[in-house]
Amino acid sequence: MDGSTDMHASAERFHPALDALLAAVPALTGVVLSRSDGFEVTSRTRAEVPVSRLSALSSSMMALSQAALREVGMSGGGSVLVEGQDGKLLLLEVPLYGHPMVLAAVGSADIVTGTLLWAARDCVRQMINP
Amino acid sequence: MPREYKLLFAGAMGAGKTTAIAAISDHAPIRTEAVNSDRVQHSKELTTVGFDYGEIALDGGDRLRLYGMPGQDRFDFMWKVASEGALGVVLLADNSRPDPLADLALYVESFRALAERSSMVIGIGRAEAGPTSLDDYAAWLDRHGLSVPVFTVDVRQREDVLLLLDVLLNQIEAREMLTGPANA
Repeated sequence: MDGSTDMHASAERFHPALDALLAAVPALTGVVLSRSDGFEVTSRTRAEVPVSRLSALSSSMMALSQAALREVGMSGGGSVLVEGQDGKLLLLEVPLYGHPMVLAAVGSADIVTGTLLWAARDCVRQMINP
Repeated sequence: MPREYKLLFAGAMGAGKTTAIAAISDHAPIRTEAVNSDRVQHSKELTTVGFDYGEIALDGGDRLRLYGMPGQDRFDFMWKVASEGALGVVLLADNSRPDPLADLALYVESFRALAERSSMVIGIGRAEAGPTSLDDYAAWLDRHGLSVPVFTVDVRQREDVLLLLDVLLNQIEAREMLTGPANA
């Protein structure tokens, strides 16, 4: 058994934290929670978000960022912020024991980055310690 | 003037791309592995989700930069990104898989443009573990209009992996003799 059934069955337990993040940052388009190897766990969206592609991209980008941190002698637990003309994408590691995951938050360009970071980190804390 | 060669390793999950790069890199490869939650696809504990990176310095100052691609096709965006500027690709197949030729088809098609503009070589791992023979691979490639060298390899053995790179570099040199440097 690969654990996927367990994970999908319990994905709803992350919804309160994800919904709270969406409520805290109204300019977010959606949030996607993925396993560290790129499979979608669950998502909450206000508009169309390419969830499965974003899950795979999130895991790659997070893994590359952690490799970069290791190369310069720093430890993981990082975040990745991608800012485009039309919006922002924030990735945060979710170090859930036994099920490491990545949180991706997608939103418009006028989101205040500090607000997004604070709210997303709070979301991660809620998922780890509900 | 010393050159740098960007070369890719691609193939199915568990075919041995990370192992192959680790067998030949001059330094410990950079790895981007995550816990593998798809144990149905493969039983290994970790799987590459970004890319592996290793280097080999050649006599004369040339340098090979080696990129190991994630195997699952949901990471095909990484294949496209990494193919930019690449001069060749080593495709690894796992002959113990139920249908290694079907596995190979995905990667042959995905990296076909790179093969046609530069070079490709195929390494068959665990060759004795399945009924598909080297001739079967060659015939399959022929039917798909590809002329690609195929070898049986043990990617844990440095000499085997270096053989694949040697063949790849010979293809690159032969093509450049005809068309000029592809990525000077």
